[in-house]
Amino acid sequence: MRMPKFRGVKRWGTIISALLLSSILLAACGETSPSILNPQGPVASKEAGLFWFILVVATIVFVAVESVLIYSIVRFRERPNMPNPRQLHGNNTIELIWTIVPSLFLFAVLIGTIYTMFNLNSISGQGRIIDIKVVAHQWWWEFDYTNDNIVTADELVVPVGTVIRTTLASSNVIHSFWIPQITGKTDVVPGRANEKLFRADTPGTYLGICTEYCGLQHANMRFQLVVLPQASYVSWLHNQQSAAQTPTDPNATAGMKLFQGSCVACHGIVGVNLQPGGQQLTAQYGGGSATTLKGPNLTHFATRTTIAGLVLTWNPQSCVVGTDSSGKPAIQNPAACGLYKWLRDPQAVKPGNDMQIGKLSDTQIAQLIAYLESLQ
Amino acid sequence: MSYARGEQVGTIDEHGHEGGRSINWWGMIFFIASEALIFANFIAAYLYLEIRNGNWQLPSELTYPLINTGILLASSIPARFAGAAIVKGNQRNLKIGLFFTALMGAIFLGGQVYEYTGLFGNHFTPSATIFGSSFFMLTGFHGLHVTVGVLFLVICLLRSLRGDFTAKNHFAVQAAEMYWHFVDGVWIVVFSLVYLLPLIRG
Amino acid sequence: MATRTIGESIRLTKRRKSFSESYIGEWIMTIDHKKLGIMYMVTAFFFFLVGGTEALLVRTQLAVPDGKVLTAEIYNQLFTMHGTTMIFLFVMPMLTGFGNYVVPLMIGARDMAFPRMNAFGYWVVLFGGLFLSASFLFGQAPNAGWFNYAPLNELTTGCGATAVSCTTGLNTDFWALGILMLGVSSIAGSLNFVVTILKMRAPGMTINRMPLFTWMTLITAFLLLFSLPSVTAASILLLLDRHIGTHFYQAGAGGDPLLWQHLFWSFGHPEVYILILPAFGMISEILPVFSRKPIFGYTFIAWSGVAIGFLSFTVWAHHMFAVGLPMVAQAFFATSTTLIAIPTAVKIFNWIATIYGGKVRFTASMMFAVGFIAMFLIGGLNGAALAVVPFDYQVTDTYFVISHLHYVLFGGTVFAVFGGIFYWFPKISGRLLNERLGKWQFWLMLVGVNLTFFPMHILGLLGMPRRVYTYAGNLGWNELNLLSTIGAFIIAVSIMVFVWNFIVTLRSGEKAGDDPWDAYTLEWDTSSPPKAYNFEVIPTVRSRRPFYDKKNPDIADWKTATH
Ligand code: HEA
Ligand code: HEA
Ligand code: HEC
Ligand code: CUA
Ligand SMILES: [Cu+2]
Repeated sequence: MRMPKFRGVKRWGTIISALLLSSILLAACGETSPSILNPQGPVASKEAGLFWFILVVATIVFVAVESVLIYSIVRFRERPNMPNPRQLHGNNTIELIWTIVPSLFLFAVLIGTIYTMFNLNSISGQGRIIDIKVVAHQWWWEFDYTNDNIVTADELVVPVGTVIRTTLASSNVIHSFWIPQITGKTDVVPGRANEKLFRADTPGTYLGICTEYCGLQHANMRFQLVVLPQASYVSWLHNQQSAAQTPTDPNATAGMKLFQGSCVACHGIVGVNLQPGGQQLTAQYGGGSATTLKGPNLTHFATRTTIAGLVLTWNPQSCVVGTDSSGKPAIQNPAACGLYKWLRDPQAVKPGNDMQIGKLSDTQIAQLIAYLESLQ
Repeated sequence: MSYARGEQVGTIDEHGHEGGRSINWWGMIFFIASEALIFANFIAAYLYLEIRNGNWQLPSELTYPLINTGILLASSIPARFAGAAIVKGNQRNLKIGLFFTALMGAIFLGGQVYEYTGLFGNHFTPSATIFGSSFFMLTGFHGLHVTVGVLFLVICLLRSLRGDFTAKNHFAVQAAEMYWHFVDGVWIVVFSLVYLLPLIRG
Repeated sequence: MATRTIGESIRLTKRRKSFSESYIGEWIMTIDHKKLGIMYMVTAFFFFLVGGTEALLVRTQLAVPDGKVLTAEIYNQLFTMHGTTMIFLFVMPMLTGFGNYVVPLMIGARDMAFPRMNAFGYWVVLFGGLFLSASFLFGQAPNAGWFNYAPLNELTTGCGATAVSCTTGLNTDFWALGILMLGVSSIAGSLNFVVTILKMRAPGMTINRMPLFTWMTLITAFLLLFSLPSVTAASILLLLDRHIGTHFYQAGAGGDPLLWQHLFWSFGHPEVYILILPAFGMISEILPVFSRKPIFGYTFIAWSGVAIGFLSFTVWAHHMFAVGLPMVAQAFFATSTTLIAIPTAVKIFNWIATIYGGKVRFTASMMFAVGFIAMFLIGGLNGAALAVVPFDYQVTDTYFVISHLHYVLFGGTVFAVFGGIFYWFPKISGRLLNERLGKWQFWLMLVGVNLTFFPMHILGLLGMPRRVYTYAGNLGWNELNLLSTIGAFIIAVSIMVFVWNFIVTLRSGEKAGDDPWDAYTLEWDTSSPPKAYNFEVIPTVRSRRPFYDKKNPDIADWKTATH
C-alpha cells in the first residue's frame, strides 16, 4: 500500500480538474438550461461577471493550496530509516504573511462585491419604466400591470430593452422571484413590498422559478418571461386590454355556460364575471394587488402556452375538439392535450393545488376546452 | 491536586488551596447566563416588533405594576439576608429570609394575575393584537421564571425546616438566591421596556 | 505535590457500585463520561444511517427527471428530516460524544464536572431524537425545511390560499418540540464542557497548554451557550403562534416572518461553526501525531478559533441576502462574512505547515485528515463565493448552496469524524480498526463525495433550485443529477465498508495496546480502554505535549521549546 496512495492522489486531482472543466463548458453552452452563465440582461450579466471573477480568484487559491498540500504529503512521506523531523513549533513571520496575503485576495473580492451591489439597479432602457405588481400565490404567479389595467397569470410578458420595475407581494407564505438569465432572486415576503428592477435584452422565452420553499408544490411554481419586440408588445397589450370575446361556436357556447356555472367561483374573465379595467380586479395584498379570486385570470387564456406553473404545456393545436362515437363533443387525442389532463384531474397533475373541482365528463371537458380556445 | 468530593471531582491548583468559587457556582452562573440570553432574544423580538409597529400604549393604569415592581425589587433584600445568614450557620434567619422572599414573590405573581384579568377585561389578549402578543410573551415568560423561583425558594425553605443546610453545605440556598436576583434584574429591563418606554415615547 | 494515589479514587468506584450491576443496567445508569461518550457516538451513528437513508431516498427520486418514487408530500418530509437529522441528531451528538470521551482524558480529569447532568443530556438527546423520528409513524414528519421558515411553518400541506389561519397537522410541532428538547440537552452539555475545561484541568495544564481539541470544544460550548437561546426563543414564539393565537410571524396582524429568520439564523450561523470547530480540533490532534511533529502555530490555531467564534455572531444575515434588507446592511454582512474566511485560512495553512517537513505516516486516520483539508477547502471557497452578494442573488436556494453545505459538512465534519474514529477507536475499544478496510472506505468516500456534490455546483449555476421534488427533463440537469445519485450510492457503499470494519474489529480486531500511534496527549497515557477513574496518578503537565515529554524526557518540549 505505498505507491497506490500517491497515484490515487493524482487520479483524484485529475477527476476534480476534469469535472471543473466540464462544468464550465456545460454551464456556458447549456442552451436549454436557465443558466446564470448565459445572461440576457444587464442585471444577470453583472452577476455572472462577478462569478467569473471569483472563479479566477478561487481557482488560484485552490490550485496553490492543494498543490502545497499534495506536495507535502508526497515529499514528506515516511521512508525507511527516516530520522525524526525537526520539532518546529511555529514561526510568527510566516503566520503574518499567510494572514495578510489571503486578506488581500478577500479584500479584492469584497470591493468587487460592494461595487456591484450598489450598481445593480442602475440600469436604463428605452421608453417609460413599466410597473408590474407581482403576486405570489401557493403555487402560481400573478402579474398586475398597474399602469395598463391588465392582469395575467403565470406568464410575464414584457417588451425588449425596457426597464421593468416589479413590486413583489405574497398572498400567503414567502416565495422568491427568479429569472436566472435575466436577474437574481428577490424574496416575496408577506408584509413587505420588495422591489426588483430588470431589463431583458433579447426577445425570447425565459424560465422563471420560485426559489423559496413554499410548501407542497414549490417544485411546480414556475412562470415564463416572454420578451417581445416593442411592436409585438404593443399589440399584445391592446389585445389583453380588450374584454373576452363571446364565442359563436356551439361547443364553446356550451363551455361558456359551464364555465359561468362553476369555474367563475375562482377564475376571472373580463366581460364575463369581471368588469373591464384591471384596477377593479384588485384587492390589497400587503403592498401588492391582484384579483380577489382564488385562481388565475383566464380572460385571454388562448394566447398562453403553459398551464398551472408550467406543469403542462398548452397548445390549441394539440387539443382538437371533435366528436366521439356517439356524436358528442370530445377531444380527439386526449393524451396529447395538456388542458384535457388538467381539467380531467387537476389534483393528479399538481397534487395539493387549490383547484378543487368535481369530476367533469369528457363532453364537458371538450366544451370547456372549446371555450378556453376561443379566449384569444 | 485532584480529589473526589461527593458528587464532583475538583482540582486544587499547584499551590494547594482551593481555586476560587465552587464548580457548582460556575455551573449555576453559566446556566443563568443562558437563561438571560433567552430573555435577551425575547427582548430583541419585542423591540423589533415595537419599532415596526410604532407606539404601543397599554390600556391600563401604571399603579399596580409599579407597586408590584417595588415588591419584587424589595424581595431581593430578604433573599440576601437568607444567603448571608446561612454562611454563618444562622438557621433562624435563613428561614425568615426564605419565607419573606417567597412570600413577596407570590404577592408579585398575584398582582400579575390581577393585572392580566384587568387587561383581558379590556379585550387586550395575546391574540388580539401584536402588542398583546408581545406584552404577554415578555411579562408571561418573566412570570414563569418568578414561579420557578418561588418554587425553588419554597423547596429550600422546606429543606431548611428539616435542617438540611449548614454553614459549609448550602449550595441550594446559594443557587436559589442567585436565581432570584437574576429574575429581579430581568424585571427591571422588562418593566422599563413594557411600561416605561411608552411613557418616554409618549 | 500534585500526585495522588489510587487508594483515594476507590471512593469513586465504590460509589458507582451502588448502581445497578447488570450489564445493561450499568450502561443505563452510568454517569461515567466515557460510557456516555460511547453512547452518544453510537446513537449519533445510528442517526447518521437514518439521515443517510433519507438522503438516498431523496437522491433516488432525483436520479431522473419527473421521478415517481416519492410523492411531493413524502419528499418534503424527507429532505426536512434529512437536514434536521444530520445536523441535530448526527453531527451534534457525535461531536459531543467525542468531547465527552476525550476531553476529560486530555486534560487529566477523572470525569466531567457534572456527571449526572451529563447523563441527563444524553437521555434527552436520545428521546428527543426518537420523538422527532416518531413523527414519521404519524405520517406527519416536519416538512418545512431544516430552518423551518415562517409563516410556512404555521401552515400545513394543502392549506393553500387560506394561509395563516389554518394550523392543523403536527409536523411543525414535532420540529419545534424536538428542537427545544435537543436545545435543553445541548445547554446542559455545554455548561458541563465549559466548567470542566475551565476548572478541572490537571495541574500545570494552563489554558495555553490545552490540546487543541479541548480548545475547540471549549469555544464550541460557548457558541452553543450563546446561540441556542435564539432558536429556543424562536421556537417558543412559534408554538405560541400555533397554539395560543399570537401573531409574531404573521404579517397581516403586525408580526413579521423575517423575525423568524433573524432569530433562527442568529442561532443557525454560529451553529454551522459549532458543527465544524470540534472537527478542526480533531484534525489538529491527528495531523501532528502522524507527521511526527508538534502542531505548527498552536497559538494561531487556538486564537483563530476564538476569532471565528466571535465573528460567527456577526454574519447571520448572509442567509438572508435575498429577503430585501437595506443595501448597507447587506454590505455589512458581506464584509463580516468575508472576514471570517481569514481565521479559517490561517488554520488551513498551519495544518499544511504541520505536515510540511514532517515524517508522514499514512494511516486511515491521517488520510481522512488530509482529505478533510482538501475537501473543506473546496467548501470554504464556495462559501466565500456565496458571500459575494450579487452572485448570491443568483445561487441562493439553488443546488450551489447544497453543494457548499455538503462540502463543508461532509467533506469537512464527516471526514474529520471518521479520522477521529480511526484515531481514538483503539483507545476506546482496545482494538485497532482494520487499516486496509479503512483505506478502501476512504477512497470510496472521497470519490463518492466528489461525484455526489461536485455536480451540484454546476446544477446550481444551471438554475436548479433546491427543495424540488421533481424537475422537467428539458433543462439540461439530467446527467448531472444522475451522476450525483450514483455518487450517493458510492458513499453508501463506503459507509457499509466502515460498518463491516467496525463489526470485524470488535470481534477479532488486532489488539491496540495503550499507545498505538506514539501519540502526544494525555488520553494515550492511560490503559486502552481507560479505567473508570481514568488516571491512577493525575499527571503534572509542563508543556503542550505532556505524553511526548514523558516518553522523550531528554528532548521534552518543556526543555527545548520556547513557549
Ligand atoms: C460546517 C459548516 C459550515 C461552514 C464551516 C461554513 C463556512 C462558510 N460559509 Fe456556509 N453554510 C453552511 C455550513 C457551513 N458554512 C450551511 C449548512 C449552509 C446552508 C444553510 C441552508 O440554507 O440550508 C451555509 C450557507 C452559507 C451561505 C448562505 C448561502 C445562501 O443560502 O444563499 C453563505 C453566504 O455567505 C455561506 C458562507 C460561508 C463562508 C464565507 C464560510 C467560511 O467560513 C469559509 C472560510 C474558508 C475558506 C474561504 C477557505 C480557506 C481560505 C483560504 C485558503 C484563504 C483564501 C480564500 C479566498 C481568497 C477566497 N454559507
Ligand atoms: C452533516 C450533514 C449532512 C450530511 C452528512 C449529508 C449527507 C448527504 N446529503 Fe444532505 N443535507 C444536509 C446535511 C447533510 N447531508 C442539510 C442540512 C440539507 C438541507 C436540508 C434542507 O434543505 O432543509 C441537506 C440537503 C440535501 C439535499 C437537497 C435536498 C433538496 O434540497 O431537495 C440532497 C440532495 O441530493 C442531499 C443529499 C445528501 C447525500 C446523498 C448525502 C450522503 O452523503 C449521505 C451518505 C450516508 C449514507 C448513504 C448512509 C449510509 C446508509 C446505508 C449504508 C444504508 C444502510 C441502512 C441501514 C443499515 C438502516 N442533502
Ligand atoms: C376552487 C377553485 C377553482 C375552481 C372551482 C376552478 N379552478 Fe381552475 N384553477 C384554480 C387555481 C387555484 C389554479 C392555479 C393552480 C396552480 O397553478 O397551482 C387554477 C388553474 C386553472 C387553469 C390553468 C391556469 C393557468 O394560469 O395556468 C385552468 C385552465 C383552469 N384552472 C380552468 C378551470 C376550469 C375550466 C374550471 C371549471 C370547470 C376551473 N378551473 C375551476 C382554482 C379553481
Ligand atoms: Cu413559491 Cu416556492
Ligand atoms: Cu452562515
